[in-house]
Amino acid sequence: MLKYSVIGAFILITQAVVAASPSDQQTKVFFGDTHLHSAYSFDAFLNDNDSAFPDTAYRWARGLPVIHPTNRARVQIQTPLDFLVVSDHAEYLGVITEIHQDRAHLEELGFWATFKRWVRLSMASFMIDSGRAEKVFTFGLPKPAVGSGYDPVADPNGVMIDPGYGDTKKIRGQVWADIVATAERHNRPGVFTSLIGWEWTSTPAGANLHRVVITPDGADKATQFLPFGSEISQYPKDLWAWLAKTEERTGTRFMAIPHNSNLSKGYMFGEVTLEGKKITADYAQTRMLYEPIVEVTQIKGDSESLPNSTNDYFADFETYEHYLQAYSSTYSAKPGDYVRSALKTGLSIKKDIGINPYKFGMIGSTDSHTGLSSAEENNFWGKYANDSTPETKDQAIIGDADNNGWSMSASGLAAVWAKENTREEIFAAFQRKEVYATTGPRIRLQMFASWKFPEQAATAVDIGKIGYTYGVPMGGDLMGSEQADAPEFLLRAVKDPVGANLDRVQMIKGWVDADGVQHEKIYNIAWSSGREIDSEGLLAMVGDTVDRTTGNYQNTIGASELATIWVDPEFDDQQQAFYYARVLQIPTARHSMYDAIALQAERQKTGKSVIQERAYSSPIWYTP
Amino acid sequence: MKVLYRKLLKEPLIQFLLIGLALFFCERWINQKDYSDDQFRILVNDQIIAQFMQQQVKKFDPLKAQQQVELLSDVQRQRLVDDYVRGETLYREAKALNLDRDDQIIRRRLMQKMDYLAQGFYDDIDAVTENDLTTYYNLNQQDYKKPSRITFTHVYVAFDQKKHDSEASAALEAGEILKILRENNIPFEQSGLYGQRFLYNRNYVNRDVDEISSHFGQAFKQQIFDLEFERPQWQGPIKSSYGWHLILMTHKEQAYIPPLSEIGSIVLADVQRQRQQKVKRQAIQKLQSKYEIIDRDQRQ
Repeated sequence: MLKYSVIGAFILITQAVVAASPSDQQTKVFFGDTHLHSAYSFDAFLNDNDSAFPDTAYRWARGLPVIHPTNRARVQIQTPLDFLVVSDHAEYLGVITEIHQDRAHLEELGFWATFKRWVRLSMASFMIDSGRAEKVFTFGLPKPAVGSGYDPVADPNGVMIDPGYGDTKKIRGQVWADIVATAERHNRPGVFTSLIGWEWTSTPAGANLHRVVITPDGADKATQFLPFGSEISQYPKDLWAWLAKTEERTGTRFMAIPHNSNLSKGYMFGEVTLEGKKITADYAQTRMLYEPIVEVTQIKGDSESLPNSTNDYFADFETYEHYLQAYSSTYSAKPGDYVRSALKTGLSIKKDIGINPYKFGMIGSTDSHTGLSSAEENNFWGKYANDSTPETKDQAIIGDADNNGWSMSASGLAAVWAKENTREEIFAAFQRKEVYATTGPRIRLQMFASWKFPEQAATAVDIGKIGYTYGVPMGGDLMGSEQADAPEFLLRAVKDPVGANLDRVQMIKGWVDADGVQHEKIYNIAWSSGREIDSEGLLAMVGDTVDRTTGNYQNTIGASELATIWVDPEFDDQQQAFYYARVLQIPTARHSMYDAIALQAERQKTGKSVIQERAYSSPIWYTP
Repeated sequence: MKVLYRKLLKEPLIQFLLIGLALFFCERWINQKDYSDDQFRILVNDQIIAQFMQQQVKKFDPLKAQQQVELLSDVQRQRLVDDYVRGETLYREAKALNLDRDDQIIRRRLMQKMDYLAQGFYDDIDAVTENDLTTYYNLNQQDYKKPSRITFTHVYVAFDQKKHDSEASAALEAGEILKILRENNIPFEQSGLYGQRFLYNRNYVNRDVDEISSHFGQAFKQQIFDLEFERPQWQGPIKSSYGWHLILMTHKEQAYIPPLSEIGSIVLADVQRQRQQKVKRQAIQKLQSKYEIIDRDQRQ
């Protein structure tokens, strides 16, 4: 009886709140991939994907069985995606595929140029037909810088090789029309979203400056332009200028998403521009206009923190140390390569010029070249088609002998908090950075910041409602307040419905002090029961339930849900700072372990056995 | 002299030589085309150029091509002629050397080309009528089946709360809440005021079986789809992998096949694709019918 009346009173109090904020105003989480290549990408084609075109890519993403481009097996994703961008390389878009599959009509050149082209194509054809296409790919890769200047584009090895096809506009036009038409055919508002896009593949002297460009618009706008490739310019500023010009001409909208900063040789998030000039307010503004988010994790490595980050026990996660080059050179991790250091650089630059050029949100995506967006370790179909089966994973990839299919892992996903699963709403969520990254599992992560949340907010039935009412969501700004001593963060992480439990939630804080010195600190803020933080702030490892003979794990450790309110214990209202959450799963089997079991091979051969999958929220910034 | 002549004629060797000579000249005469200088002549005219152009662009419209050739400037026309001649020379020389025989790449190329040409017949496809659409739809209905979908809200009572030492005691609490929900006719949008926070969603609107089973487990999915549904009312509790659930279901649709009026455009695209494949298959079969197949080692 008592319980009855308590509940009754509760109803009276909260009814007003229910009426004030109808639940359909709230965001839902959607998972997708913004970075996938089909057989139209030259490197996908040269690495044995000669049949998984955009149609296959969308069918796979929507959960339908498809044919694998190389081994011809029937394959199917376990949990379908909510959205997908087929982002083929703009450079010679589909040209090599169309030539070698005999669907292209090449424009006439002079006699000598035609002859050279003929020789080159015949050689390439011969290599492709005799199963050595990847050699053609390696041959076309850039070489490391030989000069001493800062700007890699100005280096003697920074020049792009012209394959001498002549004018390929017509072929690219046909291919682009197919990419656009296929996206239109698969777009189902509310159910599945296809976004139109491509990749700008600038790699001067082996420095990866790649960006995926996406638009929320449809065929009516997208057929009015051809994708901008790095053969036109390798400078990001020229890409942005083209985006601005094309937006003005066609009325469309664009966004560029940098990725694989881990392979940028320090240039992706440098302290100066690519040309070595000081970053100006104008530059920072343009960059933030077009690049509000960054792809922080993917098959070719994780770019969250420097592998040697001090005091970060979980750093050096899926570090990938192989540049995109014709031959390898020593890998050296630079602050401009990783997002945590980049976020700090951004704060320093803001202190100097007033605008932060690196105030970005975070997503993950696969960058798979098989047409199959596979971020599931137990259902991973490779970076390229030729490293998609256990027996083909030990060969060298991308021209580097130390690098094979086991150097990479099945990663990642872009998680989006949006009102609806439509092009407009997903693009809008990207723009307001209300997005986060996962390395594959569908971990749900909510984060809000406020100067004061109601008591018990962490155990409230509807965290979202409290979050939006009292605070700002991930990707937002917390403005100064005179009433409170320190900001509060409301977080909730839930395990993948069909996946492993969670180990812990950490808060990563970066700031710049009065002397301009950069700092970072990691706090364990929520964890599964049975463990205590020790005097040094450390938390015991969660354990490992992975059966080495089957690859199966047990959810007997970890928690299915972790929620908390965290207050920054070392807050200084005079220092600008950023805060982002990192959620760790309990250990599960990496694709390499399944391969080792299947091949009955030595574990050393296949690399790491287990992986602690994770999610990274977009940061929330505090500005005094 | 005459004797010698006759003697020689009787000589078998001479006879064979003479027959051989006759055969040789006969063959030369019958196949005189091959021995004329024609094999070293490359004939070019506008018709050939038009054909060459069509092959290059893989668009076959003779009339239009002919018009285009007439519109070519002298320089453009000469460039096409040069191209054609260069190709034809290499082609003839290679054929003369029998380079095309037993070459898998050429065989495959030629096969691909024929295959591609067969697609040229797509234009012959008749317009799809209403009747065709209905026939196809009736035959392939199963392909368009929509999965079962459900709309419900739920009140959740967890197992792992400190106050419950067993699933049964959690079930007791769930039963008490159910009573309140029923007595007060609590509507859909107020379900959030009861029970605990579930891991995933409070409300599931038009969700398919796969999603329900991934969030709640197989057994739960089966039970909720089996629930009686006449008018919306609170039911349960149903057990999931995490706890007990009280359910208010407002909509349930079993897997169904949508009517043609709803999916007309999808069916139309499928009919067209099917016809294209059929036309292509028929074209290849027609070609194949010209050949007699002799399998000398055919198994009985």
